[in-house]
Amino acid sequence: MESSYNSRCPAVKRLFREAKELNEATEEYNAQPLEDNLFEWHFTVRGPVDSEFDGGIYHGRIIMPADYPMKPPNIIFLTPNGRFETNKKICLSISGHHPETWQPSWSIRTALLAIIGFMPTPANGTIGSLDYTASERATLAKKSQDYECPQCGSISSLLKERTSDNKELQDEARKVMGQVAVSVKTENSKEGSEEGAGVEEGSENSKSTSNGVDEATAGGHCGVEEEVIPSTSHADTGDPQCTDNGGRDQQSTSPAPEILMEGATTNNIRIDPDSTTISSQGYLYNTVLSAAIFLLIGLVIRRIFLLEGDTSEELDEILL
Amino acid sequence: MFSDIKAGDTTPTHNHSSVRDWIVGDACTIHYTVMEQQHNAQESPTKPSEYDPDINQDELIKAQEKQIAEEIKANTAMIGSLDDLSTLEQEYSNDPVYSGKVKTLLPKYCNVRRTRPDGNCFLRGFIFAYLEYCIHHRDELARFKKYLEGSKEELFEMGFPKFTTEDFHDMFMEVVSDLEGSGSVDRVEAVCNDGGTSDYLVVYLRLLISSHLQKNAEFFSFFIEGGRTVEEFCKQEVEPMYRECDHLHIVALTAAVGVGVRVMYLDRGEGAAVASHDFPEDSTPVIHLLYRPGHYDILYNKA
Repeated sequence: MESSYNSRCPAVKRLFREAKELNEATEEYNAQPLEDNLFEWHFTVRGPVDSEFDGGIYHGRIIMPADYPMKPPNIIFLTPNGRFETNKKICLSISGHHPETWQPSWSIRTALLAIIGFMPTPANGTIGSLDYTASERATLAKKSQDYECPQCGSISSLLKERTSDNKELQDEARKVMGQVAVSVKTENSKEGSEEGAGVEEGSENSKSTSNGVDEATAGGHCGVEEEVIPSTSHADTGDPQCTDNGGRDQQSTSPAPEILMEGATTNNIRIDPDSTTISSQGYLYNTVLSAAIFLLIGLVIRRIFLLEGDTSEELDEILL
Repeated sequence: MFSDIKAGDTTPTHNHSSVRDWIVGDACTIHYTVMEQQHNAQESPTKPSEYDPDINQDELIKAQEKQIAEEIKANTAMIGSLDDLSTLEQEYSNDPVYSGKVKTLLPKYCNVRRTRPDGNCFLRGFIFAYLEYCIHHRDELARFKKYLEGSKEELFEMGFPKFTTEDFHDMFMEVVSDLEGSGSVDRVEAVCNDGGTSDYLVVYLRLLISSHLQKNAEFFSFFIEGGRTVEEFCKQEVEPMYRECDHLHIVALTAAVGVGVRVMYLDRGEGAAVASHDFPEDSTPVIHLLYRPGHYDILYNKA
C-alpha cells in the first residue's frame, strides 16, 4: 500500500505514522486503515464500564480529509448503539465561537477517546443523537457483539480481551470529552436509517463505503465548513431537503444529518433555542442554576413563614 | 513587555470603512464581508427574501465563508512574489489616506511580498521572512536549529501530545536541515508555498506560542479578554489553524524564538505618519511586516 501514496505528502506520512501507533489493538479501542485506502479507517470501541453500554462493542468508519490533520476526520457509526445514529457523520473539532477549529495536534486516538467519553452523556434531543432508554441500550450492547463488518468481519475479535476496567483510559476519555461539545446539522436524510436494522445496514455500509473512498481520494474535505449546507430544511424536520454544492456522488445513496463535535469553552453557554449544541458544561450549569433557584424559593417561603410568626426574636433571627 | 501590549491596545485593529480593508482582511474580515453580502441580498428588490426562521442563517454564512475562502485559496499564493513597493502605491491611487502613508514608507522600504489572507498570514509571513533572512545569515540558522531541537522537550514538558508534536517538530527540523545544506531563497519560497509543509511549520509556531503563553500564564492572563484562562485562550485562539494572530501572539512568538520583528501599521489614522512597533521591545528587527487591518504582508527595507 505504501508505494501507491506520495510519502512526501504530510497527510500520508502522518496517517502511516498513526496506523503504526495504533497497530496493536487495545482493550478499549482499535482503528486501522482499510487495505486499499489509507484515507478510510475502520474503528472499534468498547462501551464504557459503569454505563449501559458496558459489554457493547461498536464499529464504525473514519473518513480522512485530504488535508488531514489540518482538517478534522469524519466519524460514522455502523453498529446500532442507542446513543449515536448510525450512518451519520461525526466531526471532531475544537473551538469557542467557530466550530471549524479542530486542533492539528489531535489525532485519531483523541477522536476515539472523545467518542468513548461521549457515549454515556445525555443525547438531549439533538439530531443525530439518540435518547434510548438504558435497557434498550443494554439490549443493543449485547446485540452489538454479533455485528459483522463487510470489510473487517466479526468485530468482537478486533479488540483485546478486557482484563480490567481501564480506569485511567476512561478518565482520559472524559478529559478529552470535556474539551468538546456535540453539535449536529442536517446534510440530507434517508428514510429508515433506524437503529436495530443491523443486517440491512451491513449491506448499505458496503455501498456507502465505496462512496467514502471516492470522497476521500477525490480530496473531499470533512471540515465543518466544507460540508454541504441545507438551504431549506430545518434541522429537526423529518425529511430535510438537501442542496448539493460539492458535486459529490455520495448524495444519492448515503444519508445524513451529521454530528459535529466542536469545542466548548467552560464558560460558553449557548442559549439560542435553535442552537443544537450540547456542552457537557451546560448540563452542570443548568443543574446548578435550578438548584440555586429552588434554594432561593425555599428561603423566601421560610422567611414568609417566619414573618407570620411576628415575634421580635424570630425577626432578629432572620436579620442575623 | 508590558508596554508592548499597551501599544497594541491603541492600534486600531479593525477598520472596515474602506472596501479595500475587507478585501485584504483575513478570516474575521471575511465574516464581515459575508454579513454585508447577506444584508444586501435581503434588501435586493429582485429577491424579496424576508427573514425566514426556518433557514439556519449561521449555515448560510458558513457556506458563503467557505466560498470566499476557496476563492482566496485559488487566487492568492501562500507567499507571493517579490513586488515593488510602488505597486502598493498604485493600489491606493484613489485613496488619499493610504497613498499618503505608502509614500511615507517608500524612502525606507523597496519591496513587498503579499501573503495569503487565510488567518495564517502573520505566521506564514514570519516563517518565510525569517528563513529567508537565515539563508543570508548562516550563524542565525544554526542558532535557530539549536533552539528548535530543544523546543521539542519543552513542549512535551508543557503537556503537548507527544506523538503529534513530534510529527510537526520533525517536519520543521527536516526543512531547516535541508536549508542548511543547499538553501536558497527559491527553496524557501517553494517550501513555504507547499501546502502540507507550510501548514506544518505554521502549526509548530502555534504550539510554540501556546507553550510560551502558558508558561507565563500569570503575566499574560491580564491581557486576555472574555474572562478566559490562558489555557482556554490557547485552545481557542492560538492552536487551531486559520485563527488570526493578535498582539499577544506576536509578543509570545518573538519572545519565544528570540527574533526581532518590526510591524508597520497602515491604518485609517490621520496624517501620513505610519506607526511602527518592534517586538520584542528594543530589539533589532530582522523581519519587517506591513500591517493592514486584519492582515500582514512582508516588507523589505532598503539595504
